[in-house]
Amino acid sequence: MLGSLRRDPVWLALAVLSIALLCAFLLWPLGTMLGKSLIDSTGAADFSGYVRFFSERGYREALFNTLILGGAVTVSSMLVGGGLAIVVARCAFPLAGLVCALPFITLVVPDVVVAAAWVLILGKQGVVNMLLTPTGLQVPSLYSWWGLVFVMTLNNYVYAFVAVFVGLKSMDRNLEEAALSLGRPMSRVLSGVTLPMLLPSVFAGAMIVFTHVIGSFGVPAIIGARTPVLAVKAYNEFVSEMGGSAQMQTTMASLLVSLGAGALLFQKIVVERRQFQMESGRTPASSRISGWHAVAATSSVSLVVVMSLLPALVVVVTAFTPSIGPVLRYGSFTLDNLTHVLFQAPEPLYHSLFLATIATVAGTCFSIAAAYLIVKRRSALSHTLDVLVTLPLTVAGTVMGIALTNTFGSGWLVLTGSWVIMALAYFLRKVPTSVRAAIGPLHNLKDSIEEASMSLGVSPIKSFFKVVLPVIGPSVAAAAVLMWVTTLSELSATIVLYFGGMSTMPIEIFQQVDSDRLALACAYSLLLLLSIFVPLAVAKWKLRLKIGTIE
Amino acid sequence: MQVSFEKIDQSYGRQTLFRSLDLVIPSGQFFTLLGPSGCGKTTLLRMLAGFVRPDRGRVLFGNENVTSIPVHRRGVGIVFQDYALFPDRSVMANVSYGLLARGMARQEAFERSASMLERVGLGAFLDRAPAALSGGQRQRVAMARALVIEPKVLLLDEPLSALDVKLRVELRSMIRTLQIEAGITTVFVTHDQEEALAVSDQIAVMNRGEIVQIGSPLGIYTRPRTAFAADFVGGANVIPIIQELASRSDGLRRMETPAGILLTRSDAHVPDGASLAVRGADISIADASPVKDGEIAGSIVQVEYRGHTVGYSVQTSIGPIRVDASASQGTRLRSRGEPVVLRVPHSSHIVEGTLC
Repeated sequence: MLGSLRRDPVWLALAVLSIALLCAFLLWPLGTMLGKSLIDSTGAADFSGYVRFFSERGYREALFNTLILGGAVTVSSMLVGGGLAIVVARCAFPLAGLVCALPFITLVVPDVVVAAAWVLILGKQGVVNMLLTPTGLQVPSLYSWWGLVFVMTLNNYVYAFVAVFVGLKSMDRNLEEAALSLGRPMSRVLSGVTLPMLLPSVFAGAMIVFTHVIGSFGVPAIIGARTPVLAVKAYNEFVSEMGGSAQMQTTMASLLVSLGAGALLFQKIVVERRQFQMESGRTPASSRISGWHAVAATSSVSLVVVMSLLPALVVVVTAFTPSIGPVLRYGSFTLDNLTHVLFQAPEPLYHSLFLATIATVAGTCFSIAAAYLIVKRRSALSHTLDVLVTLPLTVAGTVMGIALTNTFGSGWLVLTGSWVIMALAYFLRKVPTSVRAAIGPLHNLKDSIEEASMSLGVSPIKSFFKVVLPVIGPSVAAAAVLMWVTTLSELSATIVLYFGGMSTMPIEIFQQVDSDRLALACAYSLLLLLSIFVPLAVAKWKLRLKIGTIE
Repeated sequence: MQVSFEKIDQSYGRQTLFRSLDLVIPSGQFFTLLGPSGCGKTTLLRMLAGFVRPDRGRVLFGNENVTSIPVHRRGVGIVFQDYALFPDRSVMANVSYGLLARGMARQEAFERSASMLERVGLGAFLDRAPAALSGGQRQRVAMARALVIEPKVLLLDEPLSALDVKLRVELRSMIRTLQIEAGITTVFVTHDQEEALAVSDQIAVMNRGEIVQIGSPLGIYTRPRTAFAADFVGGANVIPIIQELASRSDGLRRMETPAGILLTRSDAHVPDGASLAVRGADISIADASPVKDGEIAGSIVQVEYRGHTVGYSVQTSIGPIRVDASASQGTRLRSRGEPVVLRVPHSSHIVEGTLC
């Protein structure tokens, strides 16, 4: 059970501590939430919450909407992202290299900013409708299914793209050549050899997109008023605490968790079992295309890049545009919006930076220890830890928020209404990614390196700091920067957990959009973009860390 | 320093590796643990280092019981199969690492490291990164790093197996020279019998967690005690003995085997389930003729020309037998399919057990 931890008191203590932390702050809240969903208003335990959920049309619809949205966005993201990946990986044409910028752009421009920007572009009073006014035409409403799918596809296609692209690039070209040499025509090779090997990557990408979409809050809350989804409905039930029922919000949150867990299980059982160990050899050469094929390829790549960059551009322009109520006067210039967010109400910026820093420092230390335990100190304990740190992936932000407030609102530890609970939520949400990031280089680090250090007279713990940490350092630092910037843009847990004095930048953006003060929303968005972009740029180009790259 | 194992028990899950294993490695010797993979040789080495703790039993350095002393306080030098150089440190930083960890002053540590690197022929590479070195050079750095701390025991875990043949020969003689100069008890783990024979003072042949035989290279090679040692170290053909028949009038003993009656001059006792070990180089090969005692008929199935010798694989009634014939100038190479008679020398050994 303890494996090699038996003779390693320091690491054993760390393992026990990590598991205890996750039990107290992750398992217990989730358990409490599940428990509350089974208790009705009179305090009796029954399934009435679930019965009510499935018998009331409004709730049922939210579930179906969530599933339909998840399915639709997954399909469209796979088409856009997967298609792009195939074209770029196998064909050479002008500007193909632009795709390398896509992951970076997606990192810099958070979901909530993208949603706000598209409201500005395609909304009722949006730029496009303004331009169309003389013709009497109008774009179809953004506040509809197509609007939701459109914006969420733009937010998510990049995950599909990266998964498929990496899958294609890690393929050994000798496999295709072997199949060809055995007398198969190219078309049969592609469908019989290449496609089956690519399927795991395709599924992996699809699962990432699907879990993102069903858990996402910002976009459906801003433009999905007519198509309520579970995450938003649970939140609404939560804020109308007086009218709403604790049982119903926990019921919905529990259902969302089970959807996420279902997706993760599907991924683990069905997809990972089909993964092949591939000898990474030379990747298949990309063939040069020309003529109208090249024109089409180049313009579609450029289009995708432009569409991804457009929100940033719109936000920057609008931030400097004067407004009267909801009406923006493009063409004029003002610094009022920025003065407001920088000098009159700069607290959200400070709060965001403060919370992100706390969560990142704690998360990074935890991740290094957890990853080391998982990779280098295999035992039943570290295996438990491995499962526990993966768990937050299945928990949508809103759900995490609801679980935490419901648990730490009363009892022996009251955290609700303090910044601690917000930092805790960020920590829990981002830790899985950070742990994975540290696991990678640890796997590549040979055990003998550490053993060599110990044999030369350095104690196990000191050896870790002297020879292990320096080697995994760059990856861990990259993961830390990544955790910091993604935490800055976290909205879905924050919306549940923040309290009067502690709003963050994404919260401001969301609320200003909600109350039609789009210029202010853009000013905060610009602030958010900069506070993400600057550290990323420093880390990427000055410290040469690998962030926002495809591999 | 003398190093010893006392009554070591070790099991992994339900699999028992060692049962009450005893082994004494005399002070200052170059001692080799030789055996196929999975025989337990690396586990023994890791027990000496302190990476593996025996379920039961004691590990002694001299008279001191070190069983529960952790690695970093044992004072052993280890050279790993994959070198295990710290990738983010220069050659000098790698070698001085252990000295600095012992609290030696920088200046002195650097001087000692530099002179050690000089001795392994890397005096000009102090500032290089490990990645910028060749395999042989990395091995030298690893060797210098292990020796510079003046360890009580030097442990070599298949240090040469990742190198090509020419480098191996060169490096093993360097290792041997350094070891003799330093007079350090050295434990060397390998599965390569030629390497073991070339460098060792003593060899322990291991199989399935047991020490089959301990002896000098010459003793092990010329007088293997068991069928396994004869096969693994000497590459001998092992022919099971059914029973001993009445000796001939000239004193040669007659052994009944599945391949016919073979003769031996050995005076060893024939235990139950014994075999005759016959080295390929000692068998002479002749044109087909009626078979007499001490001869086996067969036909050649494979010919391997190696320059100074020719290896023949001869199919007989008990399966293939390996024969190494010398190939001095003018020898005729026999061809595949040719029927021959093998003359088994009277020098063949009686060994315990059979190969299974």
